[in-house]
Parts: sequence; structure tokens; C-alpha cells
Amino acid sequence: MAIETGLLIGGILTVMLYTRVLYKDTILYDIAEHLLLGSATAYIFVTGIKSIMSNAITPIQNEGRYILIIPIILGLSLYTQLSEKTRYMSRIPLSIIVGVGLGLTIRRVLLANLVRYTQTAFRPFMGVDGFTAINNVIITLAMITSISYFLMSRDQTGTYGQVTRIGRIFLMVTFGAYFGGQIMGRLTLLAGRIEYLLKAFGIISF
Amino acid sequence: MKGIEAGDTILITTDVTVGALSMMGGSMTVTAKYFAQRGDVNILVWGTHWDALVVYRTVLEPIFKDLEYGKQVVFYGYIPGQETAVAKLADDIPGLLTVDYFGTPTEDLPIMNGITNAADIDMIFTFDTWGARGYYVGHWFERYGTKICAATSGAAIATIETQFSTGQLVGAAIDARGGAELELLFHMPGRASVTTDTLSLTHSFVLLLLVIGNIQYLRKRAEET
Repeated sequence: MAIETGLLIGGILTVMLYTRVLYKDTILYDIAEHLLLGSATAYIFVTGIKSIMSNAITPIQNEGRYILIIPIILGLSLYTQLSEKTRYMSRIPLSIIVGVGLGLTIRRVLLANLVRYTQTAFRPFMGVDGFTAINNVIITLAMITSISYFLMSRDQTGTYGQVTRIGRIFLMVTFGAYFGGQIMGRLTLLAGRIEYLLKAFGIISF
Repeated sequence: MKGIEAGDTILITTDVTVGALSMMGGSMTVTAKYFAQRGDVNILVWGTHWDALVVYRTVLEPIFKDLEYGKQVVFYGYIPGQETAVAKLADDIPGLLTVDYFGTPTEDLPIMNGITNAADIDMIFTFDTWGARGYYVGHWFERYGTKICAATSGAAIATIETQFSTGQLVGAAIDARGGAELELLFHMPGRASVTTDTLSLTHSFVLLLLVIGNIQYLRKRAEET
């Protein structure tokens, strides 16, 4: 079975990285870590330059879109952070980034999360099949009790305390589902890496 | 996917790190293979993660090799700017993407004729691990009604379930399991099916470890008391 050089190098580097997990901090781990950081930084740097070229430099050269000089200057002025004397200049692009980001996020969250989720949370109990009705009751109950758990202005005792306790159970189930998903994701990554190693060392061929 | 008609335009977004391909490589491969085999759908590809190029080169390009570049498929590479870029693309695709990854002007690409904003894209297939899906939902679906199918990691299972039940997504494939389900549905067995078998075995092993750990804990506690 033919072993590709690139795959083999990747396999060896993976094993070198695992030495820290399976044994202890070793020189092999340090070498692999520095190689990873160095190559990743170089790759991201080249990707960044490439996107600046295609999004700004090329349109300026080919189409005469000189307006794009402004974002280039704003981008460069971020580097004025490096000097005490010029640091104030970096506040302009930073404030633009934060402002635009905040504006877009608020619009998105209001539309996609707040309005849509609230609309969906109130579902009909009547005029639907039995299973859907039960499901909709659970969703509404989970929403009301979970929100009540976070109302801190009132003591969670008596009947109200029972309601918040139900909310806490719903929250625990939700966090459990999140955690279960995380575990599944991590195990898939591990399985993928093991498959890669088996492929790298020519044990399997898919 | 079968609802996409001949002549429609789809967008594949590779918002995924190359390291996470074990989770989403299967669903991405099936999606790409299905549309490549049909050959009657226009395919736009870009990514908001800097690994977009690596993912395109390793997964998509070999599948699209028989399609005519510029007419049936186009690759725009990594789009920086995260949410700002996704929001701008929803309103004005050729305004932001003036050239493709290889430097060809957008106006010279036949596939881009008539593509102006999110309303011109018939379906998005987003493969993400870091939340770009939410940007497409917020700026493309909510404002233009563009249909979205999403594949994501198991860690995002609760979010994707919510988006699916609210109608923001028309389809979802979660982790390698979702990829394996797609492989089964489209009769294209591949790496996701293999990974799922491995996962089932690993989960059994983890369950066994949990049982052993609990027995050991109870034994230790009994000894102490």
C-alpha cells in the first residue's frame, strides 16, 4: 500500500503532539507545536494579504475604485497601537469596527433570535395532533419556568420556588444536551484523527 | 436538495476549519457529489473561515473537476469580515466580490449573470463550526427568505435544533452522524458512515468506562464508611 509523503509527515506530527497527552512535555511536542503555530501564522498571513489584494488593491488598480483607499488606511492605522504616541489614531478604526459590528448584531439578534424564538415558543395546544400538543405544552412550560428561574428580585420559595425548580430541571436537561453534543463532537474529532493516522501509516486506504 | 430545480443557483459556504472535516466532510462530500452529478445547478462556493481554500482544494475541487469553471461552479475563496461581510453579501454580492479566487472579474463569469443579492440564491448549504450559520440566518433568511441547509458539529446541536424548529433552516446535518444519514439517503456510502461506526464503538467504550468509574467510586466510598 503506497504511503503519501504529506500524509506520513502529518501522521508523524500528530504522534509528536500526542506525546504530551500520553506521556509528558517532550521536545517532540515542542517541535510539532512550533511548526504548527509557524505554518498556521504564515498561512493566515498569506490568506490575509491575498484577500486584501483581491478586495482592495485589484479593484483600485483595475476599476479605479479609489474609495477603497479609506479602509486600507483605517486598517493600517490599527498598527498605531504599537506606539504610545500614535495609539489614539487606532481608536478610529476600532470604534468603526465595534459600531458596525454592534449595529449588525442587534439587527440580527432582534430578527432571528428574539422575535422568531418568541413567536415559535408560543405554539397552539388545540387543533393539532396529540403528540404535537404535548410537545408544545412542554416547550411553553420550559420557557415560562426557565425564565422564572432567572427572576432574582423575588425569593424562590413556596409555590414560586416549585416553579423555578422545574425551570432548573429544564435548564439542566438543556445543558446536558449541550454537553452531550460537545462530547459527540470531540469524539468525532478523535475518531477522525485516528482514521487519519491509520491512513498516514498505510494501515487503511479509505 | 431534491427540491432544487435545473438552472437554480446554490451557495456552498465552507465556514469550517480543516481539522473539523471529520465531523462535516461526509455531509459536504455528499452535497457536492449530488449537485456535481446532476450538473444542472449553478454552484457558488466561498468561506468565511480562512481554511476555505484548503477545504475547497481537498474536498470540493476534486468533486467539481468535471464541471465547467465559471459556468457551472465558481470559487471566491476566503471572505474576511465575518458578520459584516455576510450582511453586505446579502445586499450586494458582485459589489463585494469583484473578482473570484483566481482573479477573474465577476462580470466575466457567466455563472454570475443575474446574481445580485441573497434573493437570487435558491439555497445555501452552510458547513460551519464557529457560528457563521447564525449570520446567514439573520441576514439572508430573515431579510430575503433564502432557504438554508446547515451542517455543523455536535456541539451546536441545541442551536441547530432551535433554528430548524423555527423554520430558519430547511435541513440540518449534525456531526458525522448527519453526514452518514445523508450518505444513506443518497446511496453514497463514504467516510461519514465509517466514522459513525467508529463513533458507536467509541461511545460504547466511554459508557463502559463510566460504569467502571462509578463502580470504583461506590466501592471506595463503601470502604471509607
